[in-house]
Amino acid sequence: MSAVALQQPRRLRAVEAPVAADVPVVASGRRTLVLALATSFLIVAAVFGIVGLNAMTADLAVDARALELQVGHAERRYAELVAAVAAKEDPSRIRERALELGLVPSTAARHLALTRGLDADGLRRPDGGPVIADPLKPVLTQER
Amino acid sequence: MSRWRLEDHARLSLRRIRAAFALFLLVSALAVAQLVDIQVLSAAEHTERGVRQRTREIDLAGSRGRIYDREGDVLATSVTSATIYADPRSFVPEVRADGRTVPAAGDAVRVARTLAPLLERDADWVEERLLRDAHFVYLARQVDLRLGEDIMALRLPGIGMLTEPKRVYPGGSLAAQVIGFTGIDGDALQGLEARHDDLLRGTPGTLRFERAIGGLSIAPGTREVAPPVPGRDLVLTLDRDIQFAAERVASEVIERHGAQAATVVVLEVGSGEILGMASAPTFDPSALRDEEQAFWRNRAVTDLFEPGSVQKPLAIAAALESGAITPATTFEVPDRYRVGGSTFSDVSKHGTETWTPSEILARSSNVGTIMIAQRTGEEALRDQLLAFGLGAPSGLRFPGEVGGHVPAPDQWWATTLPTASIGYGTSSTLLQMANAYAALANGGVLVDPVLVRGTVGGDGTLEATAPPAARRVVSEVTAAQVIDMLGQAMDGDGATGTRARIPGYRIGGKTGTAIKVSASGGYAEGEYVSTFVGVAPLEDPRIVVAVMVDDPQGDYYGGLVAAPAFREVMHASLLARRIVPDSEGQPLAQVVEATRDAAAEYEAMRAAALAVERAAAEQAAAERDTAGD
Repeated sequence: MSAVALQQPRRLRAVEAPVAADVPVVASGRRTLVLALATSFLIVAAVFGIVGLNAMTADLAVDARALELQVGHAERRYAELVAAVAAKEDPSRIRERALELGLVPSTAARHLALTRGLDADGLRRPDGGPVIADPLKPVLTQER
Repeated sequence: MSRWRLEDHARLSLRRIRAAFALFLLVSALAVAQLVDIQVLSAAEHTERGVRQRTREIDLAGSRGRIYDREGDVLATSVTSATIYADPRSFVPEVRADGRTVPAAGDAVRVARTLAPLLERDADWVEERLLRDAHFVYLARQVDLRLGEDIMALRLPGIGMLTEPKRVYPGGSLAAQVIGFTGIDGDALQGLEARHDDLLRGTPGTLRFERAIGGLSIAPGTREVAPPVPGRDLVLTLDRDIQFAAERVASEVIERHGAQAATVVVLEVGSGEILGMASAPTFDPSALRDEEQAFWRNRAVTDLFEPGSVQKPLAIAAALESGAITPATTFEVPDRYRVGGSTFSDVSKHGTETWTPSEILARSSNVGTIMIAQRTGEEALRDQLLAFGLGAPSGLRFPGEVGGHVPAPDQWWATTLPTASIGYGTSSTLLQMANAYAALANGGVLVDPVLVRGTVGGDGTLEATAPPAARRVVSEVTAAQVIDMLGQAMDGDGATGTRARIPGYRIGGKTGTAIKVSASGGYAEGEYVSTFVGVAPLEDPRIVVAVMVDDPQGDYYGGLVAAPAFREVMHASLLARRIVPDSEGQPLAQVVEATRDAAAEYEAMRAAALAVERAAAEQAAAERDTAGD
């Protein structure tokens, strides 16, 4: 037997595949791309959002302005109508009209004694409620 | 040599570089300093300047409060009106600095012809304005807004429109002297408009907004509104219907008697509230004319007069209150009486009569009243007249109100007592006289007259004014006795107030006829002031009406001139305040039955009249036939 030991035949050993963490090169590039895309998307969305909101605000502001104008017109019209109604109710105008129609002033007005008392102007209800305005002319209210 | 030059050149360059660097540092330091100044030290100022450049501030006018009568009927309000203006530069060619001539934007003649009919003006008048050497001329102020919009729709060059508030008085001349008026620029000038301007006038607000170049508003920009605060509405004590009746009667009495003026006051007993205060002639505050300035004053508080006999009840009240007389005291009254060297006489001749104070009042006897006053004494009479509110403003604080005159104690001469007792030598306003009667009707308590019930703010609730001051001036018994005498002055033989009676109501009142004081001193012969002051219903007085007619022609006695006017105003006031006549309050069934009877009677009369008419027609036809034959 020789001194040289026979070498065992060498066998190939299966090498374990490297774990993914050890080879991140390709994956890292993709992620950057994704991040960049996402950021770009967010920026674009934000820009569109801001522009959209601004447009909506402008639209609403225009609507509000139009409404203000309408309110102004309505208030103006209301004031005109109040003056017109008061002018129509003017006693001298009514008297003139009545005389034109051939009516004559009453010389014998008659009065009825009502069995039921009506709320008089300035009357305070017994239950302590608010002072009642004249029921014939309830005008001093918020809707005047 | 060359080496030296090179070194020297390098050194020089280095110095230059250092100098340039130093200069750069200096300029940079200056820039930084300027930046620090702008950004830090003067930041606020520059921020404000920037805001000023891009923001615009507009004043928002606070609307003037309305004026209502006691029932909420509008007496004065404000509407938006149009003011039309022109820029005359638009109608002349413009020569620019470079010598070029820019043609006129519009043709003045054509624009004037278009505008003239719309503005109800002459075309020449409009054209003259359009060609003035000015930048701005008014063509029409405070015209109807629709007319302004129509004019703007024509798109005429150089013509513009502004909107501005306009005060309107829907009732025209109704209560004009009481309400007063504002000027075209909204300044309060007369009456309650001036007296309560602080309440009526609104507080202006502001609108701030950002604008772009060219002045256009930036829609989403900052917009700050400080809303204007409208003025408070004024609710008066006047009743529109009573006011109208008082004014109508005052105007009619002037026309009927050719008088210079007439004044009417209607007061509510107890509250001191003035229901009506009319002066005639009157004016329309929407169409003011300078020549009518004399009509602007509220004569009931600004004009003094010697009241004459309407002061007699006050003299009798003084006598009763002082205990000098009782209602049963009698006086031997001749028709002439000498006091302090002067002779006083009654209007109608009579023998010496035995009269009670009530009869003296009913006959309006000067002599009898002087005899009563002599028992009262000067001091008691003067004090009582002052207690009734004569000689001092009424507390109404109406612009131009006067206090009248009751002589001071050291000015009482021998004839002052007799003259003061019959309403001469003292002067008062009609409101003072009405209020003195209201005190008698109110059981002896004088209440300061009021014209404003309260104010109404944005929430629509009425905030009542403080109740007026009240004080007792005579006892309840004295007041009742005098009121009873006033009732007797309306009836019976020799009573002067019979023409003031109203069917269904018991009235108490007193006539007055006084010779007017002349402007040159003394009395104006043939010029009189006729008055009547009365209360109703007598059992429970609710209303006082005072009428004064200045210088009536022909008839001038208070009983003939003022009493009928009093009757009309009092009747209208009683109806307006829904005061049922003493004799009425009939059940509905009775009224219906009476109405049916009246209708049947009317039908019967109508049928009879028709029959007569038919018979007459037949007879006429027969006569025609006969004549034809």
